[in-house]
Amino acid sequence: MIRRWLSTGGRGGVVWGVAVIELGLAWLLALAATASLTGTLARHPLGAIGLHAQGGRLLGELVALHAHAWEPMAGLLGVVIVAHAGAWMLLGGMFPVLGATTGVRWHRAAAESLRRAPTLLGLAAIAGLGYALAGFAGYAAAGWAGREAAHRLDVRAITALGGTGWLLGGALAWAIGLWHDVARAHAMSRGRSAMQASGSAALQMAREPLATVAAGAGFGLVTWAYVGAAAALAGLLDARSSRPGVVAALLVAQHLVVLGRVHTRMKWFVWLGGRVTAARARAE
Amino acid sequence: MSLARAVGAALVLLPMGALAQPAPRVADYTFTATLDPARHTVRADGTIRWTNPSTVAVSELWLHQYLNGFAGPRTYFMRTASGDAWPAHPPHWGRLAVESLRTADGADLLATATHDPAVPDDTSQLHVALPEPVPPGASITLAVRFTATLPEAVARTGYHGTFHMVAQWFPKVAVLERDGTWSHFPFHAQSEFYADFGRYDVRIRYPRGYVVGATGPRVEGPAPVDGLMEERHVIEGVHDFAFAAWNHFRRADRTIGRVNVHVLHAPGDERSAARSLDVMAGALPAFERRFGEYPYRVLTIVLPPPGAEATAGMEYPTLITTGAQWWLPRRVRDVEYVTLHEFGHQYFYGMVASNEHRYPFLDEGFCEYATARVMEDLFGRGGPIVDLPLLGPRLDSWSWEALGSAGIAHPLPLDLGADEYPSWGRYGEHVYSRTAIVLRTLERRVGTRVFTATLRAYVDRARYTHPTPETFYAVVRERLGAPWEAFVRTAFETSWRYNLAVSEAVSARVPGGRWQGRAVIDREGPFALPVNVVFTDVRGRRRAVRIANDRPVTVVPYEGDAALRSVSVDPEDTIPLELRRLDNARMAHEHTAPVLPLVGRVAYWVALALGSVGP
Ligand SMILES: [Zn+2]
Repeated sequence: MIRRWLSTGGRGGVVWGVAVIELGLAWLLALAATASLTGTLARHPLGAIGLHAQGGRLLGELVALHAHAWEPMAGLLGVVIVAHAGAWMLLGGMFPVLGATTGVRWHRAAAESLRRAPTLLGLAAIAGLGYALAGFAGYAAAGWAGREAAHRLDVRAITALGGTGWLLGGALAWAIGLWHDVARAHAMSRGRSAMQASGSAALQMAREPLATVAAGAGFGLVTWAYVGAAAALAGLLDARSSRPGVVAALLVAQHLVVLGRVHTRMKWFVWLGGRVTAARARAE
Repeated sequence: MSLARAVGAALVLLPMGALAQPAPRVADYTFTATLDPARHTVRADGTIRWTNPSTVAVSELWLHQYLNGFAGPRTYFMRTASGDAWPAHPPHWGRLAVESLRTADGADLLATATHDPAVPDDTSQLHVALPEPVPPGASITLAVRFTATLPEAVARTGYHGTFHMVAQWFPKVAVLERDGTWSHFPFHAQSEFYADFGRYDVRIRYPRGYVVGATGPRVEGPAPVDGLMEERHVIEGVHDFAFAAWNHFRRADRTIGRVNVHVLHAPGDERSAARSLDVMAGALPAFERRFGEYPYRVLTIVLPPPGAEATAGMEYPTLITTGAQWWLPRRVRDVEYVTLHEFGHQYFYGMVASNEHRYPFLDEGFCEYATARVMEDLFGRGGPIVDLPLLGPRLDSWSWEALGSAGIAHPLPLDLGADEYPSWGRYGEHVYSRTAIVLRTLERRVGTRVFTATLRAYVDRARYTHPTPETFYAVVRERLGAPWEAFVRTAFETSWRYNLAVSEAVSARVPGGRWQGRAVIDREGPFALPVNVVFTDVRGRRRAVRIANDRPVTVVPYEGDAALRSVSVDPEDTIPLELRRLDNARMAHEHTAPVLPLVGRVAYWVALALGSVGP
């Protein structure tokens, strides 16, 4: 069972590759972001463990001491995320190509992805429009909920109303993300244009709504389950013990989470590839 | 049985609620007050009986009409609400209109009454000339009729929908000090209140369907009167009276020891109500053990509904307002912290009735210390406020106060008046955090048991009086000695920055295979408090050296059979008022490995963020 889940049908190399690239970028950014802190911590006998000591006092001092460094760091993080998103928009066809085919080397998939950049950008633009609409819908729902909450007395009902905007916007955004994945699978495995792939994706989601949505939700849940598991592990270990072995185990677990997420994305596109191939077989 | 012991036993056996040490009855108020929730008004009439507590005859009275702070945009309160103090002015102003004020003989006092001419556009003070002087110890009774119009909830007071927090709603006699000077002041945005002890007998009338929580035990009602409901509250030994009324209140009750605790809350807020009762079950005995008896039989906790948050987090005699989000996890002790703080005011403000306007640190700061102290009693070491396992680092009450004090960029003395701090933020960091951490430092230096006894002696001496800082200094001098009196005077009366730091930690091998080196301890600030300097060598062995710490810099020599790994000064944290603890320890050589977990942690979160916009 586990072996079957772990298997990506010979696409393991690309999973490792992507995870390493993501973690590498993250480490570079983390080193830059913590540069101002590391000097202070390196001079302190407790090191980073000091962050947990004295009931938050040392951590609070550290935050106050380096408050000036947070703003440029947040800016840097924003730039890196945008650059990263841009890069993946161009390479975003790589996973669908790999998912729909077997035996394609990942640099071939990357090259194919770059070649189809206009189509991928087109799909990204349509998705972007969708996200904007989801945001607007969420905003409008939040406004309505706020007015509605003003007439309510029950504090739980008021809290629930306050969440409706987020919930609606989030659900819409998730559905658009799902559609974007399906559309990319159609575009890359069947050579469709952005408009054609959009239509095919919508058609597939309409024809197999339960299967597509359930699979999308299932794979999505697995990616977040990794994060949850790491958080739970952190809860068990963190601040309870600061022994180097415990700290190292947690670090390893957290890095495995990143690998696990990339792996799950690959599995999802393999599943989508199978569906798209079946759809093509039906069409031909 | 000796006579003294018999008297002692009799005191212990005093009936419930009786005051072991009677509070003076300087200002007694008897009102019948009718709440009109549609107009947001309270119309009241009754009497004020005032007894001259000073040593001189007086022929004038000063009354505070705090509600007039919200009478319009030009009041002293609104002018001094410098942006950060309170949110923008209420959409609906409030005011206190005294319609009639007469002596027992019927002489009209209102005709000649004036407002303080020194404060233009402000009617928060009323000066009344008396027809004849009131000798020391003599009384005068005034008949009064007034209408309080509540503002939309702002600065502790007001209404939201049909919820009404009725506070500062009646003309209140200012405090006449023993020497015959009136402690009166215009209502300032950063200031709280000051009044004299007395007996309150208030009949509250309100429409059917409303639930009322008020100062003091309910002795009659609710019963229908003239188409309204009426209930009567009578209490002695307090210096203010407030009530909350709402037609949607839910209530939760619990008897804790001799005290009936009521929580009034909005529908759906049952969880916060239960948490309030749970924390009081521990807090009431804890406060009594440390600070003496809570002599009243009742405590009402009001959790204002959403929209009325401006009235939350405030203390009145036997009635406090608190509040927190209902969904906060148990280990985020927001409602617990606020409840302890506001209950702590029953001591530091309520019974120990210092002038909140002139010496806000005596109520807010001492109360904040008591809050953290009892947080630690109830929730363990440090009194954790946030203790979420998933987030790792926790936030302790003492650390919270220490960080607040350490964040002070431009220090001021702590014994300033509320109106002397240039902003709300600077008021808070001094009056609350720095005061609490000074008291905590004293506790750490003399020991918790000795300090608790000292603070208890202060509370006992100041109970039902108006203490000043000198009252506290005298108790410290008697209990702890002149050097500690000098310490608290310096800490409260001067501006200071205080820090200890290890500025150098080195060692080198000398002929014979041994290691020699030194630690340099820098001291910034006024307090010469002896501390330990601890050397740790590379084999993990520790050696402590006591230094007098009476000079700006102390050099401590090191000698051992291994190289020096690190030096720390005051590792026991006996001076928590220090600005920084980070520089209290220093490696002889920087080490990088222990930093990796931090970088790795940040990298993980960045990778998650990147992954969410990934392929
Ligand atoms: Zn307070």
